[in-house]
Amino acid sequence: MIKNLLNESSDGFWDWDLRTNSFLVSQGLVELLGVSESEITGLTTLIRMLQDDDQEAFERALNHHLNTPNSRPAKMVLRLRHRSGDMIDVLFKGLVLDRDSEGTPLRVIGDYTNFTALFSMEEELQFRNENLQLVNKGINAGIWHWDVSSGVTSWSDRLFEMLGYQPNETETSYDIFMNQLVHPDHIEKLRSNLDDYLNHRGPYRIEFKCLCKDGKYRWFETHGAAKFDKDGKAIRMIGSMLDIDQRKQLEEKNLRSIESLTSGNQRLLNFAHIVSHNLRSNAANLFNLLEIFEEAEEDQKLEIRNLLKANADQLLQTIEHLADVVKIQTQLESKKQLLDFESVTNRIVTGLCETINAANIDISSDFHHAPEVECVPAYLESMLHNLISNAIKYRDPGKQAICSLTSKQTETHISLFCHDNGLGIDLDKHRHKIFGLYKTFHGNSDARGVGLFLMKSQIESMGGTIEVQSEPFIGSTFTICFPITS
Amino acid sequence: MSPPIHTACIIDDDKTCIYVMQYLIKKHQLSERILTYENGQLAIEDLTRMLHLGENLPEIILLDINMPVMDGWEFLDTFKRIRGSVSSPVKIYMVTSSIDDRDIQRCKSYPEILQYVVKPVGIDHLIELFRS
Repeated sequence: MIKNLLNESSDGFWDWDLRTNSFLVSQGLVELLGVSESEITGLTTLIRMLQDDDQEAFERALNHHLNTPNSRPAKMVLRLRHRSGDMIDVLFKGLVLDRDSEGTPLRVIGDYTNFTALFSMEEELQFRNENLQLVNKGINAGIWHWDVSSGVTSWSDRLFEMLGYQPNETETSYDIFMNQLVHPDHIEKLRSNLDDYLNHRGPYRIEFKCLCKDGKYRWFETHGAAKFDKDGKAIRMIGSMLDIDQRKQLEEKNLRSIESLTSGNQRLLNFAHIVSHNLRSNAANLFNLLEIFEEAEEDQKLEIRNLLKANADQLLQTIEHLADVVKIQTQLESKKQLLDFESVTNRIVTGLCETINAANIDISSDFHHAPEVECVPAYLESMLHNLISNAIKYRDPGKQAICSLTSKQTETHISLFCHDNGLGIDLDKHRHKIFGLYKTFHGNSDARGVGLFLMKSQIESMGGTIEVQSEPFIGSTFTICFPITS
Repeated sequence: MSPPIHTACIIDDDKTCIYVMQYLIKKHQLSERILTYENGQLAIEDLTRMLHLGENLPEIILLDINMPVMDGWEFLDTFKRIRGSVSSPVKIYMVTSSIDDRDIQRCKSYPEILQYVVKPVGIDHLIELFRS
């Protein structure tokens, strides 16, 4: 009867009757040890199969219970050596079922519960946990965790560190993150990306700017994944956050370089067309004039000769302008220097003093907000010369002409302003071509249409910009922005 | 032989170009009368005046592209407007030193331009423009 029961049990039971010295084992124990039933002759067989360290401990624990009536059953964790050589962790319990009047044990039962699976699961968990921690450290990303239903959020230490905080130094709730840390321009796209992801429209992956403890915004990239319930509703979400500020700045720098190159190329292309246009028109004129010169009347010949000279002059001038524009590229290689606005302006004004006096124009300057600028010396001279010459050339003869030069400094730029009360330019009509080569707007006989083109080429080759605000008969203000390098 | 047309018009800021064309037109008797303007604006003002007086518009216009104040394109747009329903035919030729493809392409969007002529314009070519 008891034999049948033992055979049915998958656990490792043994039943030892000390009076008959019969030792029964369950099928489960046979399987646990990997031996045949006949090989298990008694307790000594079981003891032999224990790991060496455990043999004495087992005997001591069991003997104590056997020899001490009313003691607690023996109970301990043991390692068994399976026939195959594998070690098996078991929980052993041993109990005296029956004693005689003297207290001598008559029948003892034991039970082995296989622990190996549980042990290895715990080891596996510990291993995975370590892995996660290593990944956490290794990928250099901050990890966030968001319990969608309860709204509880947590950040890894690295995430705090990335934003410049000590662990748990700042609140991490969704609302605070969204409304106080994410850059205002990026809140909407972050929200809609999250919304899309939670409604199963595409992955959660987004680049955005986030406020750091030092008060500056940096670029981050976040990825995340949610666990959804059977209705498709998100339960919780885990994601990573990477600092991509350097990459982003590089990208922006590249983009600016490409823009500058593209506009430089465009400028060169336009320049090539214009030069070809002007060379062609002079050459065509010379060709035509020479053709009619021979057959012309004497009085016509004088005029034709004058025109020939004018065209030859223009041809020379075009070639000089060509050299000026080429110079912009070669001068750029010469170093930028820290230049004093006031002294360069004074030099220009002195050089132009006859023209200034003849035009009776009032030229003033105030550079105390930003007295110095880093610039290629030849460019600054050329630009100031052009600005002042233009103010003189296009003054309004109907009023006292003025031209004032000022400067300003921001975090990234030094700006030079040149304001006049001259004829102005109708920007609605001419905005797109005001800085074009040989574009003139007033029909002035001394207008060349080169100055503004040169200024734009010069400032753009240094990564700066030039803009103009103007109203006909009110005046113009040119703003030149010099980038501050490092 | 009487000139093929009565009034020709040259709009060009290049004085030499005007001089040469005027010289050739007179010499070969291509037109009885020649109007010349230094830019589109001056031409528009005078042509508007002529329209008001009920005078005939020139039968041929030789138009430069690059000019200060009002360039050839702006002239065409404005001329189309002021001319309105006046139906006397005006032959318009773009006469320019520009070989910029953007100008050549843009020219195609103006059906009123009969031809894109690159300077220098030889005498045979000029005669052809007037006689065709």
